[in-house]
Formats: sequence, C-alpha cells, structure tokens
Amino acid sequence: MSEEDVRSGLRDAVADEPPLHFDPDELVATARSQVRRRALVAAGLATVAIAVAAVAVPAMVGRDGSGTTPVADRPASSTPSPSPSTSAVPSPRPDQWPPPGVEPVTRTVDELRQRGKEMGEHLRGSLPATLPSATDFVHGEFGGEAEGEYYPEQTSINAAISFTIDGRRYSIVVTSWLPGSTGSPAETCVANCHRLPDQAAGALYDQTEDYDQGVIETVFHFRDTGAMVSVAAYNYDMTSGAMPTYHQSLPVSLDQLVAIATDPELEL
Amino acid sequence: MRQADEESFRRFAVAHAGKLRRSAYLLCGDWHFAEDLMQNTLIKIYRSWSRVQKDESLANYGRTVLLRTWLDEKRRPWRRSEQTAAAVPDRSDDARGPGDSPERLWAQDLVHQGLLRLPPRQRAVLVLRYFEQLSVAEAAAVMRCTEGTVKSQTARGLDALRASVSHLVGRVAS
Repeated sequence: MSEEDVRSGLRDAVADEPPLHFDPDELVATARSQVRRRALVAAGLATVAIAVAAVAVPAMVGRDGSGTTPVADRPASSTPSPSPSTSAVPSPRPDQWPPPGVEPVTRTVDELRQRGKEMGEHLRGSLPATLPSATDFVHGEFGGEAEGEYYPEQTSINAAISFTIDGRRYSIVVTSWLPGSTGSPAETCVANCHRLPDQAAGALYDQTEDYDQGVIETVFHFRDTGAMVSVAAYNYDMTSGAMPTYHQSLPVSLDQLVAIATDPELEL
Repeated sequence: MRQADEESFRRFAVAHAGKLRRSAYLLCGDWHFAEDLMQNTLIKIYRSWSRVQKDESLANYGRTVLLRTWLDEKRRPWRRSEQTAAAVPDRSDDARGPGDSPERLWAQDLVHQGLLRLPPRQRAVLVLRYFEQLSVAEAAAVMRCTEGTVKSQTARGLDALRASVSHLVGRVAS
C-alpha cells in the first residue's frame, strides 16, 4: 500500500459525508451562555472566598501563631480575587506558567517506564493508607496512550486504579506531567474550576465535570518545579470496559484527592 | 466579545466547520461523534477568539484544539469502551460510488478501518499528513511535538496501517 493509496483511502472515507446542518448563530449562542455561566461561577466562588476570608482573618488576630487552619495560614494566596474577565479560572500562581526559569524537561522511554514502575509501587503502598475505607485495589500499570505503553517524547504518564467501597466499585486516574509540559491552570482546569487553598509548593485547582450520571472530580497540583500532577476521581469504575454503573457519590473526599495530588513521590 | 470579533468568529466557524468535522470523522469513525467534536472545538476557539484571531496559523490552531478535544474525549470511559471501528464488510459495497469499481472502494474502506485500529497519535499524524496534506513542520506545530517525532510516528503509523489492513484482508478472506 503506497502513500498515495493512503491519501485516496482517507479522501474517499469522507466521500459519503452526511449533510452538515451548521448554524453559526446557534453555536455562538451556546458559546456565549457557557462563557456567562463560567463567569457567574467565578463570581460566586470569589464571593464565598471573600466571605470565608472575612471570617477567618479577624479570627486569627491575637493568636500566637499555633494551630492555624490552612486557609488562615495563607489568606491572601488562597483567596481567588474577583476578576473582571469572563474566565472562570483565577489567575494562576505563579502568574506565568510554567514558572520563570523552568525549561521543558524530556525523558527517554526507558526513563518514563522506570518512573512509572516506581510510582506504581509507591501508590500500591500509599493508597490503602490514604483511602482507608477502600479495599480490593486493582492497580493499572502506568503508561501513555495505553496501559504499560510509552512513546518517544511522551510528556506525561498515567495510571488508573479501581477499588471497592461499601461493595461498590470506583476508580481514580493519577497523571503526572514533566516540568514545563502542561498548559497554564486556566488552559488546563476548564470545567467548573476553582482554586483551592495552598497546601504544598505550588497551586491547587479543583474541577468537577458532570455528565448526566457520570461525575469526575479532578484536583490539579501545579508545582513550583513546573511539573503537574492530577488525580481524577470517578463515581464509577472506568476501568471495567463495560457500560459504567454510576453511584450517588464520589469515592474520594477533596482532602484525599489533594493528599494524592500533592504527594512528592508522584513527580515525574 | 465585541460584535466585530463575533462576526469574524462566525466567518471562521462557517469556513472551517465542514473541514473540522471531516477530520474528526477520520479520527473517531463516527459522524455523530465527529459533529460533537467539531462543535466543542469551535466553542473552545470562541472562548479564546480575542487572543487567537490574529494568529496567522489559525486553521492549524483549530486542528490543535480538535486533536486535544478528541484525545480528552477518548479518556472518558464511555469512549474508551466504545468500538469505533465498524465491522469490515465481507464483500464490496456495490451501491457506493458509481465512478469507481466496487473492489477499489472496498479497499479504500479498509484504509479507514485500518486507521481506526491504530493508537491515537499515529492515527492523528496520518490524518494530518495524508488527509490535511500538512508538511512535517505544520503537523509538528499542530501536535505540539518535534518534527522528528512526526517523522517517526508517520513511519510507524504507515507500517501499522499496512499491517492492520493486511490483517483485515486476511480476516475477511478466511
């Protein structure tokens, strides 16, 4: 089969294209409403954050510095400032992403495979402690496009882990990106996104995607090193290969997601 | 968005909707899914229109967004578990394409069916190079990788496509 055969094969594959009923006005209306909704969510979250800070900061006055809450520790950095822009995502911290001075890092396939093995081993040991009510863990191998498979110039590795809580199967996906290889928080965290109080060297964002019955909550940890780790929790077992059985709630709390996302052992 | 910007976005959307949907179809193998991908891609472009509209390689930016949108969708479980590659017909489709022999059209169906069995990035690079007719440099810009990666993925993709088509032909013949 020649390259010309490929060209003509692909050309002819779309020859039976069904009619396109494309209405640009409808598309613009949909896009506008999404932008408006994101702006409203951003404004709402900013209002809540300001209210929290208004209560937390006065409460700190007179304290001796011990026993402060994470929010009170860093009231300024944990409070998204209200933005006049239409973006739902607050300005990333650091303001420039990747952080100044961070050069994109590359790894060979062998290096990625080795790190994947190490991270897999680490998660086998750490997850039962982080998720104490979970049992019957099934750890997928780290990989790229497919489990255990890597390719040259790959910039992230990911693994899916499923487990049982109260007799129901759930799953999470852990993904680790090389320094300098991801877009900014505003480009990455795009659905119902809000910034969390800082708990480690970097910035934390939380995203919730709601697809009728399927819910995916993802915490992104943009690290000061320029690397990024995300953990996505599913209200079903996304590894089963069958039609999902959805459950009422997510299996992992926000604190647990943050604990995994900020784990220093998961840096690529 | 200012009215003038919105007008220029409308013009861009009208000019590129069909092309984006065709590329999406080659990537995913389903016209309905391809239409969703096209719509989502254009909505994402709308959100960043004021920033990207002056970009000289706006069409390639659209291809990049489409590619990301597709790859993101593939991560979703109902996409992972779906069978995108339709069953290969066990004989040629006589009803299709009056200008070509049924045997030739059947062989060309195999190219797309073979393509749908490749890993996502190999699939993408073959669509960009042989359907979109992009240069190596342009494909690298769209895929956000080096030209060397495009060349190696293209070579591997072509080998895999040939193997996939041979496998399909063998399966039908047996």
